[in-house]
Amino acid sequence: MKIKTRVLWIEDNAHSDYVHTVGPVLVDGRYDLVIAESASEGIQYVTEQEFDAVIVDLRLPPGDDRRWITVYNHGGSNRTNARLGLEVLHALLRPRDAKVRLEFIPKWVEPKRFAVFTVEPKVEVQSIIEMLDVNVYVQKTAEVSTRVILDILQALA
Amino acid sequence: MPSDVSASLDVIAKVFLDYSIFNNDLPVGIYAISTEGELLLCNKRVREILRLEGEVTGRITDFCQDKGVIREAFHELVEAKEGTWVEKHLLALRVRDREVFVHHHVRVIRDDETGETIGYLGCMVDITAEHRYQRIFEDLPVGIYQLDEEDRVIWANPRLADILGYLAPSEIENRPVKDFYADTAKADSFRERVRSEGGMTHHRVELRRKDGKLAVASVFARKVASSDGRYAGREGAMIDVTDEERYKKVQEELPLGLYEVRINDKGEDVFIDCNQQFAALLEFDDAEDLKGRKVKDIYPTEAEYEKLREAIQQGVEKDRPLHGLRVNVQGKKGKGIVLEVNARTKRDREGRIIGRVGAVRDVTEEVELNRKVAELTRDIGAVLHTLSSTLVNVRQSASVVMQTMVPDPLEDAKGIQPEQMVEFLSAPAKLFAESLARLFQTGDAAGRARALPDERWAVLSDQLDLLRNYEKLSHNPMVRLSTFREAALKVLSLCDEIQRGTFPREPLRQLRMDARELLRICNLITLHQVDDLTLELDMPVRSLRAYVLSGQRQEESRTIWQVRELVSKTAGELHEFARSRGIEFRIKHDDQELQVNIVVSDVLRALSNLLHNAVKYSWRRPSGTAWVSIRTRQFQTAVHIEFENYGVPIPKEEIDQGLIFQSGFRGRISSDRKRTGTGFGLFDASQVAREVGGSLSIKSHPASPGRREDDYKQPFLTTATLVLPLKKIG
Repeated sequence: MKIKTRVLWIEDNAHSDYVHTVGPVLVDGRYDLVIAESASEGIQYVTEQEFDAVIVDLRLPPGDDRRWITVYNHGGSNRTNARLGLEVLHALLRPRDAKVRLEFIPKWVEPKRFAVFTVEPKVEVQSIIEMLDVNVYVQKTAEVSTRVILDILQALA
Repeated sequence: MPSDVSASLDVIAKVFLDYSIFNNDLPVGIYAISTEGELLLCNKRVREILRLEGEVTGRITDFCQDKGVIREAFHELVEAKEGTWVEKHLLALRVRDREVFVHHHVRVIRDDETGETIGYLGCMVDITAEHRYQRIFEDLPVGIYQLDEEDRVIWANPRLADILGYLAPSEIENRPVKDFYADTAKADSFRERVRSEGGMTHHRVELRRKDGKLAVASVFARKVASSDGRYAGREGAMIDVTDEERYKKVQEELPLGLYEVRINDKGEDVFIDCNQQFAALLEFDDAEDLKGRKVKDIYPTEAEYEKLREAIQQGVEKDRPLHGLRVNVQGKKGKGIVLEVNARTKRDREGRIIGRVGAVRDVTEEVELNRKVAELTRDIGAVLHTLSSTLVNVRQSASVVMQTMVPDPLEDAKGIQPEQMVEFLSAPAKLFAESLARLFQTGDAAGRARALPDERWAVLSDQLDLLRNYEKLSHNPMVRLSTFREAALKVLSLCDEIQRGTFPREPLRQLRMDARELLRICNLITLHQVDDLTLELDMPVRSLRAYVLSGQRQEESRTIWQVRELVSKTAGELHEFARSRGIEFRIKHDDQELQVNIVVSDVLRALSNLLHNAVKYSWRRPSGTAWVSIRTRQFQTAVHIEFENYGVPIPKEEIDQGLIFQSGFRGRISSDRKRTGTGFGLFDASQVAREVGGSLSIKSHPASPGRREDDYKQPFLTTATLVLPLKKIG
């Protein structure tokens, strides 16, 4: 049996706006794709399972975890300002600066396994992304193809 | 001469061997009076002081302004020891309508033998001039002072004491002048300057009053030198300019340009005074540089200057000050500046206009910002207008394409959520999977190897696995749609790689047909989704456009509408959208005749926003149906228009904190099942409600009573209530 690359995509619009990018990943046959739709759900997956690649959207809803709801509310109670995806990255990759301190960060978590796929142009968050050492960054525009997730995974590989 | 007077004179003659003390040119007035106060004898000086001519007659008290004073003197004489002079430093006399002030002494004259009082001897020195000067010093509204060589206060007038907050000059006399300086170092430097320069004028000094408060004085000082030229002190005057300094400070610190203009002989407006802010506004370094300049010189064109003059003239005709006129001027360095001018004309005693005083504010940035906002508003309006057109185009494009893809099994399946539409994929996906499975059973292994390499067959095998086990892939039906589409495309692509003649045609043909049918259903579902999305976006985009441009529209007057008509119109606008979601409107009016007086476009927009939300956030109820309830009822002088839906919750804190009414806010659960929104609907609706004198409130509670209020996975009943004041009767 083929060993597939385990991929976690933390994206609240994966089943709606970006659903057409999911099919190509599943059909490709090389990837085991898991989708989390909130910051809470994303962190839960990361702490419970190992992934070879994690793709993160910067604008995420908080989910059910009170800590993420608090950060979301402090960030203006809207996804654009709160940028919970950045806070998720902080919590996992630079916990000393993080607004949410996780009880446990798995050993497999390292910057080279992470990519960002978001609406913001990189220049808006460049300094933070560089500080987190995340090197793969793709902006969501009308021009991205249905194969964009495959392209990101290729870049991470 | 009366006999008693004559008798007294005789007695006096006995006391004084002669009258020589009364016949002299002494500068001191000497006189004698009887025990009754009759004037008996006096010298020349007394005659001069009292303007006496001819025989000496009259009483000394006749000349006294305050007779009590002289009587008091004589009473003291009675008490005084033998030979004592009783002194009055100041005795006010009235001599032929003139005030005369004398320094006065009097003593008793006794008979040497009998010791009996036979009269009184008095002395007077005319101190009228000194007293007048003294009075001037006392009453001047200017502080006068004298300091000794150690700068101690020798003398100060009452006004100086007052400036320093003391009750009397005695409280400050004999004290070092430093005691009264706010900064003692400045006392030393001032002394030094007076000493070296001989004096100072208009020198501003900060003083410390008795109560600790600061006062500001303008000081004049003159050095007093000893005979050898050394500093022996100083004397001078000071004026309290505390208020003047305060106003000057206010004038300098106000963020306003203040100015005064006078009309010169040629009828031209000329600046005669201004504060530093005014000068700085016009790019002058100093206010003094602006004084004397003509007002028209700061205007870039004659037309702009004329605009100011006309506005001033209109103000004069209407007897009103000029207020809020915006003019374009040019700074000294050429910068274009927009000033907001407020001015009042000044007139002379005859009522002729001689100039004006005014205050200006630099509104250049404000004007530019307003221009940009107006431009941006127009741009956004245009973009949203284009977006609306684009949405129409997209929807119609999807529609015409759907029309060519008949038969469309989803055509009549209105009201089913897009994710539920994927159930229509089951049958074609099953057929496709079966066709693909048959491929693996066609021919033998060698034949299959000739048609395609092994790795290609492995890919086909993966697609078959996917089709058979899609439920394990994802719980989400939309993922199934995407996966089936990709799988079908992949299989078709691989089929194209098979060389003609290397594989039996019929299974391939069937596979291609089933793949294309699956693709057709996938595409129809996607097109229906596009249709649904454009409908969902259309109203918010139009509403946002209307909101953005509402400030630019001509003001719309209020009109009277029946509430049921408003509801009917709103429901009509959203009928197609509701139908696409399978949502029914259930409308109830408690009173069919309620009327409101409103700006109808704004209220319809608010109602549309609320109803659109209610439809958008509705779920199917357990019964399988879905509806939005619209109800109108009267409460006292208002009508409540309620929209209730079953579905997406609004978290309690978002309502309690008023977040839902904030511009651009989208609730954290609002994108449930990808419901789009601008975040302006409730904000706009709440503003409209306020503007008409009404209100907007939202409630959201679990649909099943008794369930936890913070469990946001269950359906909630959400009610939006728009309250409008009813039209007043009469």
